[in-house]
Amino acid sequence: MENLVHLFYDEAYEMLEGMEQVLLSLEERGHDPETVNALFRYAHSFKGNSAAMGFTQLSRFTHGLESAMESLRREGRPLTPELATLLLQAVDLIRALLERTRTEGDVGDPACDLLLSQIQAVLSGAPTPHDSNTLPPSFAQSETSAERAARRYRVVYHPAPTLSPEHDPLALLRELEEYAQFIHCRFHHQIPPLNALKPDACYGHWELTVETAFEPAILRAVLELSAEGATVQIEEESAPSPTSLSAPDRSQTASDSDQGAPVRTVQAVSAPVKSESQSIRVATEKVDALFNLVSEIVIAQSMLSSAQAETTHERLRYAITQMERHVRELHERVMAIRLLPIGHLFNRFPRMVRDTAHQLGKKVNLIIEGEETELDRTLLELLSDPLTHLVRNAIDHGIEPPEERRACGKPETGTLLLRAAQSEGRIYIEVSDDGRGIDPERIRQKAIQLGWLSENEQPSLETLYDFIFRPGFSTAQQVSDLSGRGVGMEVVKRNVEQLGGAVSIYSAIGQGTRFTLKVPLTLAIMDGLGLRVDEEQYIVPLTAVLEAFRLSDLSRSAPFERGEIVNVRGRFIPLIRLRHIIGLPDKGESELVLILEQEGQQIALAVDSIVGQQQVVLKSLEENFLRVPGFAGATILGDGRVALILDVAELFRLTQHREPISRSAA
Amino acid sequence: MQTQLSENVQIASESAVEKYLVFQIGSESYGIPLLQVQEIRTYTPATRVPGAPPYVLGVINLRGNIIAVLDARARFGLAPPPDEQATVIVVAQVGGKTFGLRVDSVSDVVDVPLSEVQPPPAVASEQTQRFLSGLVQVDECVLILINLSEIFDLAEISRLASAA
Repeated sequence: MENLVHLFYDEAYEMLEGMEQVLLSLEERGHDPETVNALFRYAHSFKGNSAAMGFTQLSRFTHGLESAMESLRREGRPLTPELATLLLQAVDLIRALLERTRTEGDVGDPACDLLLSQIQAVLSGAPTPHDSNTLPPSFAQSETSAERAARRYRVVYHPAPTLSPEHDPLALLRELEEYAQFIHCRFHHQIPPLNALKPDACYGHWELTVETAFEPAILRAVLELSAEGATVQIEEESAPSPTSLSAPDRSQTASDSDQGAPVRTVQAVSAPVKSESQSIRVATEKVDALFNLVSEIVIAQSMLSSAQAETTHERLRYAITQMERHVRELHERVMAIRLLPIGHLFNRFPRMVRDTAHQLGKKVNLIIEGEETELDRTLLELLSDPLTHLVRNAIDHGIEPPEERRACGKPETGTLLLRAAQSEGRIYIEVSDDGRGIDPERIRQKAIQLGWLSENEQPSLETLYDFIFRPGFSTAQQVSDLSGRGVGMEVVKRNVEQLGGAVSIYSAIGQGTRFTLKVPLTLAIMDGLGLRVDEEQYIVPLTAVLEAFRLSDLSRSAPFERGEIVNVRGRFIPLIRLRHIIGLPDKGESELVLILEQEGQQIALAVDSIVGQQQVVLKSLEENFLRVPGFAGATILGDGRVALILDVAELFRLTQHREPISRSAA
Repeated sequence: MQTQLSENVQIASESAVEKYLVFQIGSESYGIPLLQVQEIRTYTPATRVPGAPPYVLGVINLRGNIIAVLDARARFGLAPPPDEQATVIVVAQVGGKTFGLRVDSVSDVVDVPLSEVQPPPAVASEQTQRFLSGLVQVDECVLILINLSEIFDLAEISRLASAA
């Protein structure tokens, strides 16, 4: 926490300095959209950070400033010396307040509102105060806008569609009450039926009539605080006394503020460098180091988050929530740095296809699609071998020699399609050819020959296709230089599964074969669902989880006592028990059942209880130990303990080779 | 006289002396080459690894890396430790992999003159005999030198796991 506070102040001062420099350069050089944006960035980050620290007054003031300055950005208004002075005063005021937060916590000052209304007045072109050196009144000055007549406004407030702890409309309205007297308040809502209700959605808006002496911009600022997407309409209802609206007629000559020098010396500010290049080259080790660090931060964050429940310290809890969001975004951004277009990998194939086809006397036209699809650099490297193998296989086994193709009425030149696409958080890579296809009967014969099948077994197509991936399987008539040694497909499957992916085959005799590799976008970090069995926690990838039931609510059966089946809304789904997988006896009926889905198939997984959703960093078990069957790896939990991550693909395989139920405690 | 001698030996041939970490199981002292030892940690409960043989206590988090912890007592066919909380984990390396070995306690680092190490007589069962790499008298006590690569035998663990 200490470090966090430190960091906040360091950054805050940097941002203030930045704002100052930007303001000075704007004044000197005139309007420039890039510089104005920089100003907004500073103000925005400052607002977010101070809100995270619980300094709501500061963050509200900054927000007010931001809103007031909006016309600079939107209308490209030049920064007049007058405005510049006011804005610089605002920066000074923030700095002074910031210094006070160190000892006094969340402090505000009436001067803030006054200054805001002055800025607003200047921007709205209203008569400007005569004394352009008007300073904010002293911090001790408590009478604010009392002299100004209260006016009545109609406020329509639509909160952002999604609610969060940081964005609580009711809390904001309570805040507003400090600024305005509520005459009338109506809540309009359209709440959907319970089954369609999203717990974090906001289904209503408020219509208020308020009386206040404050500027409408301040009301707006309060309601828009820390909420992207909220809309606020403010209309004045009647204008009783438009005379003295703009600025207070006090002219303060001295200020208690240590920063309030009336005349600023405008220093030459180094010009913001505009000649930024579009990209920079960074050594991969640097990115990897950064990424590893972010992974550690994600773990540390999960420790913080789990500790959050133990504290009642409001600001701390708030900061942790805020941190969680930032860490998630940080992770996403760093991940994005590591993403490369798959074109890097695809680009090596034209040459390889040409050479291979030439060597085999075949004619092949390679089509590449979706080469702009991005995926993690490490994934790209690990996919290189499997893809190379599939492409070779397609040319060697799939696409027929020209004369054979002609005899079948196909064009002499075969087509090989390499396609990548992203969908549902996964990358799909297809290698397809219009060759002779895979003959299930030939696989069956080969399997019988290898002793994997008995003479009269007629397994399903999927089972037959699965044989292709078994070590030692090769249907190539002769062992060629390129493929057919029966090691390749096994490697393809293993590599892809190591990445948490899956391989599927679609084939039609005489028409062609398509291999689809499905891999996750990233390797290292994923969303997981924590499961508890006895004292230990396990993680299942969240992407695989469809829904959850109480086991006792589902009807069950166990045909031939070999593996259970549950009825989920009329569908019979194989049930496996996590307790069996990890070698523990059953625990009665109090268990929950998760429905997992993979490639359109579903299984039910019985667990003791669900702990909750969390981001987990995938750690290798093999690096220092062994691959543990049934598990894709491990992760480190918030309390520093290790949890194993279930391998969903393997769970599905388990249900296909089921053993008698009695095999419970190993 | 004895120490005098061993010091002389050390001077005569530097390479003939190796540092060993001494740990205890029950009343016996065992030694492993210090070069293979990375650190010593207090006992932390490990996460069970389904299917692993009983002498694998589980996996723990070693500063962001996952390592396995093996129980020396179980490995040597001895009863579980009387007080689990008092045990320590010796983190060591074998073949580029890091693992932990849970022992009763760690006491000392000693210089072992390699010339004085004697091959172990056949005292143990066939299964455990392979863990012994030698015996040596250090000061008052007999130090049982342990072959770590036999203890952290991944091929065996993997075989036992797939059989389970």
